[in-house]
Amino acid sequence: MENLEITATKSSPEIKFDASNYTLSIAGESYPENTSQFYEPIYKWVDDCIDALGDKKMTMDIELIYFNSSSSKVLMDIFDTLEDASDEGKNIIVNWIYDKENDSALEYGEEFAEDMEALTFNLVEKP
Amino acid sequence: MLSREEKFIEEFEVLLKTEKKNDSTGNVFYEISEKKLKKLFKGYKRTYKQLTKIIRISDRQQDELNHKSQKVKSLLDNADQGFLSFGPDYLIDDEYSQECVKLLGEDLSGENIADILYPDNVAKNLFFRDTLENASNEQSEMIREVMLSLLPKELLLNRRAIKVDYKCLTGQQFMLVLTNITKEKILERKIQQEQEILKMIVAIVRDPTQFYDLKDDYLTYSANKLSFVNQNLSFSSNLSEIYRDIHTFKGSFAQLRMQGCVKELHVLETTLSNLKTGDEHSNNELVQILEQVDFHVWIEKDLDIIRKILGEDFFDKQHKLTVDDAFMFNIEEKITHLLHSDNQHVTTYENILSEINKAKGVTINKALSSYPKLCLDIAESLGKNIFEFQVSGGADILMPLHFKPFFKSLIHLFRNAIDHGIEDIDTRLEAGKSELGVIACHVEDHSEYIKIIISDDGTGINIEALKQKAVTANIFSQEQLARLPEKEILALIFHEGLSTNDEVNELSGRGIGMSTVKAEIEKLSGNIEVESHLGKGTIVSLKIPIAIYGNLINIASNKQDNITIEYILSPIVNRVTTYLQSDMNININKKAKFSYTHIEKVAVKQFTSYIHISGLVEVSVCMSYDLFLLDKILEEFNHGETIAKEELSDYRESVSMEVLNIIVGNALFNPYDKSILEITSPVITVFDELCSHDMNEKIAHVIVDTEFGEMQILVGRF
Repeated sequence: MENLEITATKSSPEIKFDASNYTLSIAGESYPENTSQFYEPIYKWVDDCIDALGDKKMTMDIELIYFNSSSSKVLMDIFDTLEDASDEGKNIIVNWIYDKENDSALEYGEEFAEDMEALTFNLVEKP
Repeated sequence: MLSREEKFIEEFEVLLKTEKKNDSTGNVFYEISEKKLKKLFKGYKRTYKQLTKIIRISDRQQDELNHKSQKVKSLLDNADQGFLSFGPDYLIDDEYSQECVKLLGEDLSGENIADILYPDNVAKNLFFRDTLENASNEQSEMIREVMLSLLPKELLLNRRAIKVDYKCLTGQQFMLVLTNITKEKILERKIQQEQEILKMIVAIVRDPTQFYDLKDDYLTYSANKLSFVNQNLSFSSNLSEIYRDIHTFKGSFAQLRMQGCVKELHVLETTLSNLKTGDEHSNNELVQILEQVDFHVWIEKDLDIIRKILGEDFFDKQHKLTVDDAFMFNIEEKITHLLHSDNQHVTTYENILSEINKAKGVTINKALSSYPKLCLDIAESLGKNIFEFQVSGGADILMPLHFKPFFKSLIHLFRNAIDHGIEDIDTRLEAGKSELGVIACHVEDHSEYIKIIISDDGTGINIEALKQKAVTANIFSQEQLARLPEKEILALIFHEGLSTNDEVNELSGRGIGMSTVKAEIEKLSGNIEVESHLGKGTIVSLKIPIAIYGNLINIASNKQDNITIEYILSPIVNRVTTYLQSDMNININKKAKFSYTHIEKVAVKQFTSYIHISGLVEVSVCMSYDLFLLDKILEEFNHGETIAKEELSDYRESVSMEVLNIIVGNALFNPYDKSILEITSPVITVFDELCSHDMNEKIAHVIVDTEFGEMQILVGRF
């Protein structure tokens, strides 16, 4: 597992993997031309991370201002994977970061958090 | 993205194939473990949940997007600027801001932007399309910017001034940003008007006398406007006369920057100009036009502004000045009378007269002094540059009062020199000339006459173009022009209605100004000579006999009668020439020059009339004609109608006297100094020769040789 950084573009978010701390952050807007292709390495990283995690803590910070439907599907698949892993006893935290001014962002976070039982899904107001 | 769901479906398909069983009755059933079923159910449930979430999020996002675009639209709609875009087909896209509707009209979607911006101007419409097409094909952003900068930045549409910014968007799309700048333009115009008013005030304050005179002349003209249509004259000669008056007024008001008057007079001038072509009109029509004209209303607007700024006082001062002037004039007149009757104190009287003139202070130089500044103004308004200059000479010569209209008419000459003579800077530099044009005005004192020389170092008169105009205007035929010397062709610039400039503006171009100069100088028995070199410039020399009235006093008192006779003779000969050529259409044979021969006894022709002049000088003027020439004049008088034989002799006598009366009257009559000369009625003489009263006194004798025979002019005491 290696570190990886993808810089943001107008239509895709900034991605940062930090292998030593098991952290992943996604920030920006997400409506890439080919969503599956863009998120492919993230799926892979998440799977690898869960395998390597052991009893360590994994953190995923997400701060998305705008995202298309394909992106939301990708996110939900990742959350489901994390939920399953948490169900199996893994220590995983998702921080959904939203702007106080942006009502929708909070609502999307609430939507994603729903039905997540084992996974710690925090809604975090941006400082 | 949907790989899990696809796997899930695959798994289902395999299940349907592999686990298919048949019971004894032939019913199909599937054997599946609880674990497997639960897994499948879990997968299906998850997909269902994801789907409902996605739908909710998507709906929510749609709302948010709508809200945001509404916000952007509202921002743009309230920006007081029009935003619109269009593609290579010039059809306006659906999204445009509200201000576009205000500026360009409703329902813009799908309309052609080129046709909306340039509905009537095909050339501009095409230029707009071509420029945008070229810009959209251009790769370099810089060149594209340059191309777009060629498009007009301001448009006048639906009575609004609109500023247009052009932007290149991606995908061959263009965007226009429209700003309504009508208010700014109105403000700009107001500032300009204020500046114009300021210039007017400065011009008036600089030369108040000129303003008072012009105002009074104009108002007098206004009050007597109908009297200028002389029912005894033809429509066209009345029209010409009035047209010239209006043109001169316009020029004089322009000199004082009285724009209100200038504009109205310009319109009237155009109306009159239109009457010149087309069907013959009647004098009554001219009267009707003049009746409808409110000359005094036109000036009132300008006067109101002047009154507001300079105060009512300014107009009061004028009256004081007029009283002064009239008072001096009275004294002058009385002294002139005394001078005539009391020969013993000539020097004293002369000194007083000279003092009065000095007090009035109008020297020839001063009379011209406003022109240099005016020339700079004219040059500026035409976007040209000239050196500052001063009128040289003429500082010791007093200007006779009746010279005023002539001096006023010179405005046309100066204007012409700048407008048609001086070239723009680029042309001048190319021609190796100084950047600034040179206009010069010099006065020469030849004691019996003055010469005003006005020159420019401009483009010169294009003789070929002038000839062409003369032919087009039916003034001369090609053949006649070929025979004319250059000087006379150049003199055509003073012909009424002939301009070498095709464009009529408020300054020049109607070809009327120059003819005004000619008409005015002829009233003073002067003449004009033009010298012009193509590319080098033009020199106009104006020669005016100045001594005829002023010096007459000295001459009469000194009893130098021979000189006196010449002073009388010169304007009369000048008059005869113009009269025969312009009024009678009779050509004068130039080969035979005028000869001044002093002889004691002269044989005269059959029809001879004379007129007696008294006052400062005692002298008679006599004219006699070859019969053929007299009949030609008679024919012209009678408009070609034949005269019964028995009446012919009477007619010839009348015409002979009438011509003499007209010529002497016009040449010597001075409306300002009626006391100086008195002219009796003409008389027919029965003698066939004339002798001098005194053997020592001689008769001046001039023969004018015309195409129809000779005419004699004699001046002397007989």
